[in-house]
Amino acid sequence: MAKMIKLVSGDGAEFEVEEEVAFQSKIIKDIVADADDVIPLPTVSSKVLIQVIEYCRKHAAVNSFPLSPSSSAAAAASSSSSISYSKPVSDPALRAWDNEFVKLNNSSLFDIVIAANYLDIEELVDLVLETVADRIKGKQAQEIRRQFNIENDFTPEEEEALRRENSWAFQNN
Amino acid sequence: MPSTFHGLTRRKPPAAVRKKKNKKRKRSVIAFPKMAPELRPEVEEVEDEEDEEDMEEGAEVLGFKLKPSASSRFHAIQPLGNLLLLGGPSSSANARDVGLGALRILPDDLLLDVLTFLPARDLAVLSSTSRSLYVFGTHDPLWRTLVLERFHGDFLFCGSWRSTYLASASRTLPLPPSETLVIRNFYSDYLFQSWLCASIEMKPEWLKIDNIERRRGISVEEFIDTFEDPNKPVLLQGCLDTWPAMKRWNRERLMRVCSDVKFAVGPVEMTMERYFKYSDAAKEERPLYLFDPKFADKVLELGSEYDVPIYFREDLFSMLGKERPDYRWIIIGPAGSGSSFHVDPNSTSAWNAVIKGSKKWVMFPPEIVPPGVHPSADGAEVACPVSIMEWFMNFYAACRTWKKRPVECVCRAGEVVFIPNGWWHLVINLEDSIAITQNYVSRSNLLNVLDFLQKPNARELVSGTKDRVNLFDKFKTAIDTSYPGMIDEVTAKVQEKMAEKKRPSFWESVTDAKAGGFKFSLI
Repeated sequence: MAKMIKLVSGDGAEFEVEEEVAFQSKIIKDIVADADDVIPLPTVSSKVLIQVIEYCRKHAAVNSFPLSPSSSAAAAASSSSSISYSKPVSDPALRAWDNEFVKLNNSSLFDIVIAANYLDIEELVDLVLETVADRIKGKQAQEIRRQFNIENDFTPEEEEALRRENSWAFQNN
Repeated sequence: MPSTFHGLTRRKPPAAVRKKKNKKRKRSVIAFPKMAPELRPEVEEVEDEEDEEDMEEGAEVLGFKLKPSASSRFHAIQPLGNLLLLGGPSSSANARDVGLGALRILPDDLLLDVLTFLPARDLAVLSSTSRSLYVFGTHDPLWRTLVLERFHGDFLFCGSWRSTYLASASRTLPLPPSETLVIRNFYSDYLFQSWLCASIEMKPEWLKIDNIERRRGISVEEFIDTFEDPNKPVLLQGCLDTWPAMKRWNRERLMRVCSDVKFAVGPVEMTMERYFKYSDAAKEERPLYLFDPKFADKVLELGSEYDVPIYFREDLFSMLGKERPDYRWIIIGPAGSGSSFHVDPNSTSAWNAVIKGSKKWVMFPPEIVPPGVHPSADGAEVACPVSIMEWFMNFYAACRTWKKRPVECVCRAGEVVFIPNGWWHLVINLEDSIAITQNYVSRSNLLNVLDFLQKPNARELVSGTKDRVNLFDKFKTAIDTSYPGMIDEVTAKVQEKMAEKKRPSFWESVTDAKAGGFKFSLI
């Protein structure tokens, strides 16, 4: 019978999750070690918590190993990878799932990464950060501004100077 | 042995470069006190873009003396507390938030982490979208990673990593001037602290305590009995007097003798000449330092112009011949370079000899974890999340009130520090320095080393060699072959001591009133 942990969101909703799912968060893992099974998360809304739990559930099922370097060494030893990451890097199905998971608007993504950072779920943080970076890559300045609703507060001269510098430095790329 | 190069790296490093995933370094941001307008950093007064020249000597911020070359041109980033001093709705706008749009809700460290995933061109484009993103996008550590990944050691450092990248990427000469805008009204504790840590000098009070034992001309036996066996640090004087290196190792000669040979600097390799060009100009929180375990193989003169002080000549790992882990390094670095808290690998002991310059040391015995340091439970990772300067700013004062205070000293040219196995140590160069360090295994720590190599996760913990898992077998075989019976002898000796009395911890064994005159309360 799997041990259950209760997570309570900032707006008072309660979520019971299996221990191994909750333990994707290092913070929760540490708190529970001090014998506390009900964990209030005042800064995380239920909307975000649901999404985070969904991610953790998926990743707990895939990783049978908790997020510690020595266990990941065992995992790495049994796979052919010599890099000690905690999940097999070459799992296309999981990556596909992750890519679907992050198909969210910026605001939702940011809420998730802030929560994941608070809960210390390293892989989720990395996933979202990379996703945000992907939304910047390959774009011109104006497109980036549109994407994130950024106000251009440069003077025209400043902007021109920067544009010149960039084109000179990156003309060969 | 200091740890390898760290930086803002979330993205996965190339497999060949690192075997462990880089732990994210969280900055422990202190809430800066609000500064009255008249006390605000002088940087604010810089009006002219061209006036990017070095700040006057003696400039101060928050009671810290700034390095003469502190980068005043790098924006007038201010701590958040200042924002509250300004009155009026328009003047209280933080340029940070104005120019971030939806990104403003991300904390600074996460935003910078996003930026670590961007290739150079995208980072440059992002920097041109708003003033705020210009400040983030020109955060120099980001550009350091980009330079090192793309150009490895083949770059000529021009004042900042970003300028270096742009110059190296464009490949045109003469270099067009790089536009550097000074952005005002930008408030961020994280970035302010980053600038501060890169710009300040060590406070005199951090250098005042010198409580290490010093000895000159003692016998090997006395060293073993008084320091090595009880596992106590000591500073030894007079051992380097016969080293040709003491007279010959100055910059000019080193560059001449080493010419085109490349040495390990962080994750890359470069010539001495290029390294010095970088180290003279660098204004960083964690300057790169030259740290090469193959220096004596690469340039034979270097190996021949020093020798191992008599105290450290029993070195049992030498039994392994070519299979021994890396054991000796030349260390060259500017003021501010060094290594934050760590324990040397494989349970070895070490010595560190300063040929030029000077180093500040802070050491804690094995049973005391330094404040701010968080080793993982299995010992596989030692996370010291803060830089050296940050450690001194945020944690040093705390441990001075502890009953079990650290051992500290300043080690100068001609002196050698002995670091007993298992001891935590932090070291920072106080000026341009050249040193040699070696790790070794003698009878005193033989059992510890054997123990360590036998640990189930040896694969992760053992370092400096390509064949970790078998190192234990090889070493044990080598000892039994060359020194049959030694292991049993040493084991018997230790058991004897344990039977006589409880083995004293370092603190219990200190009785020397010379050591600063302060008393420990015994357990």
